[in-house]
Amino acid sequence: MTNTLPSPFGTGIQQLPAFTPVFAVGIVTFVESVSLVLGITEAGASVALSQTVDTTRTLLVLQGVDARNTALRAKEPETFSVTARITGGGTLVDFERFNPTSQNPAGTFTPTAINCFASVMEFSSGTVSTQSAGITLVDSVTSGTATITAVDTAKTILISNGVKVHGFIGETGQEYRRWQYNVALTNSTTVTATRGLDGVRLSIQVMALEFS
Amino acid sequence: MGRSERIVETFPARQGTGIEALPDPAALIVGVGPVIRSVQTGSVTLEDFPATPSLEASFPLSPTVALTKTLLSSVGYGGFGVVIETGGDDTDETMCTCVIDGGGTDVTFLRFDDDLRLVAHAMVMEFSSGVITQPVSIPIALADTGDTATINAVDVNKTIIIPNGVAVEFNSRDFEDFSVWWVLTDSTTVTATRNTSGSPVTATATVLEFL
Repeated sequence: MTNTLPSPFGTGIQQLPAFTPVFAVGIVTFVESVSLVLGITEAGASVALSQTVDTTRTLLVLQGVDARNTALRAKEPETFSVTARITGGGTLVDFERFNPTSQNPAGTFTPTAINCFASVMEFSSGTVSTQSAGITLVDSVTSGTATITAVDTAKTILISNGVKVHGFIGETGQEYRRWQYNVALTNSTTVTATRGLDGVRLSIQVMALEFS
Repeated sequence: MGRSERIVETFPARQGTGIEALPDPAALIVGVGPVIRSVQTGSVTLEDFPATPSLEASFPLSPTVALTKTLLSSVGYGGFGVVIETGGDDTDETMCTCVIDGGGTDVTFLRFDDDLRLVAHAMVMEFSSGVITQPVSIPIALADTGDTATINAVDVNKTIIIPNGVAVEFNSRDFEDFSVWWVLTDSTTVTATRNTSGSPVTATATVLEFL
């Protein structure tokens, strides 16, 4: 915006830049850590943030899971691996897993609660852009992509927010190949997830953090 | 008529009161963003039964990075990004820690057994200014369910932890043994916790503080 003032010298028009006072502070405007217990019957649930965040400039980091002990011991990622997302227009953090009932190879089922942890960090306007991407790997593939709004790859880093494993894998000697993965920024608009072996559906959550 | 009076006349009131409305002070607060020096992506293969037994492998960084200004992100389950190329269901083979090594020259992945081949991946973002990073590595002993690392004091309102992986010393496939969660306990303490003591594990992370 430019304001027009009469010339103090009385000739012509002098263009002065708009006066916009700016109070520079650190770029972080809000940080909060949250946790949520997914009960023995819950595949997913949400925890409320204490204030609404702008999802276009808020980083979410899955800090881990408390895989609560069970008598049969817990080996199945369908129960103990979760994804985290910001939902509700920036008011909630949502945790999801596929199956709240843990199964062992002998076929014993145990409803299992877990505790999920995440942190959010909101940045001031114009400094950081964030995008959440979900990548689905169907049973029969070893890689898949998600399209994101174009980022500057020289200023962007990816942060993992977990994986939901859609089924029982069992101790086959191959199960970790099926659900452990890597996510890469293939180009400015593509995030690619890769695993070593197909055989179970995965829903992967990742966040792109781009600095201005 | 003085000069100040002329200026008032030149700026008609936006809201018709004769006084120009001021912007919302909150809208005038802007951040001073960090400056990015480099972003690097790399990977390295950890071989199965290598001729020279090794539990770790590294890829070089070019340019080298400053440890105090570099965010490490290894994007996968639990903060380590791996693609497993041969069969195996043992967590001491499949799970890794990830650290920046050699004072900033390499990214190194470490596991406790080498009986399968995997490719480990990481992204590295180095800042010129605007952040302070601190890598942390927390060993959790066999009998313990958690441990802490002491870090240089941070502003907890401007700091977040980025997990960088867990390595499992024994072959525990039980999630309650190797699922670790991270908490910034206070300004100088980072805590890594698990549910059950079943195997020694080592958990790594980067503490990222914005100035």
